[in-house]
Amino acid sequence: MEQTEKQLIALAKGGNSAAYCELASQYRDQLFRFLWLRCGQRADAEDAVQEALLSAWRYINSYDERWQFSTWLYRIALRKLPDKRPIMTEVDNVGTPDDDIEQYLERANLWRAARTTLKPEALTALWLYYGEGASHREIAHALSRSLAWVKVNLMRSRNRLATVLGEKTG
Amino acid sequence: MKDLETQLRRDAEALRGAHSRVTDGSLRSAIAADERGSRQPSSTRPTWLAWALPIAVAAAAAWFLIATPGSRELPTPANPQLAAITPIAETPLDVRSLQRVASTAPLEAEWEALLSDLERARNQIEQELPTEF
Repeated sequence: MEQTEKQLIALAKGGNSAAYCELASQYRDQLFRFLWLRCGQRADAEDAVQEALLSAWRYINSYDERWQFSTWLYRIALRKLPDKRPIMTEVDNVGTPDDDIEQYLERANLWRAARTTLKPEALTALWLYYGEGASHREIAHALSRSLAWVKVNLMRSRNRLATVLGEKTG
Repeated sequence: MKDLETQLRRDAEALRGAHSRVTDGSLRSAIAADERGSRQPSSTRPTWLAWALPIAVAAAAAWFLIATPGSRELPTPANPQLAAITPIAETPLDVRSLQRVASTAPLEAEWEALLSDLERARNQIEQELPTEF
């Protein structure tokens, strides 16, 4: 019988690592996309995914169930992300083309523009809202920001993107 | 603006095709290794040592600093004027380092709880703000 997320969390909190792995596998790709968009390099994102999931296992008992499990994972993952590669700089030629998110985003021009235009935290908020369908409240919690900050930054990001697209097409 | 939002959601689909190379196996291995690592000390010595030892070390350090002759003689600046304005700690004990030694609980959980409390308080205030976009 397939277990619900709540059951898996309860089992994981009780020390059941198999239940935790099942739970983690449901969020692994989502977490990866979030991190890859933010840092740009697959290897960095993969490392951060692994470290975040391991860290979440260690501190699973501190997970507060008032929030989405994914939100809690985002909070942890952001701390695991290396800040060594600013997203607005040109990407070097290390790795295969698939390792670089810019290649992947050829079919997603708007997100490509977002990556080069917005600050990392604003990009993250935009992705969580439009890419993952997270609520303002969950985004605020994931980024340790206020609700007002999220709303204002989403509005600014949309305006900024509209301006950039207008400049390109106009 | 609605078009932009629609396009953001549509373009996000392109990225949804991306999958992590972190496998179930690699995560299981990492967790197993982590568990082995955290269990190893308890297999070689009694579990009560895990919390008793740091407390004993902290207590011994505190006793040593208090009992050592001259340790309570506070340094006095040579210049009397400077002495009047220079705050000098009442105790030469390095409380922070002692706390670090004594602390064995993971701080991350406490940090999460503190942040959670702060955010709850902040969100309560913000709910009264008429911020709508």
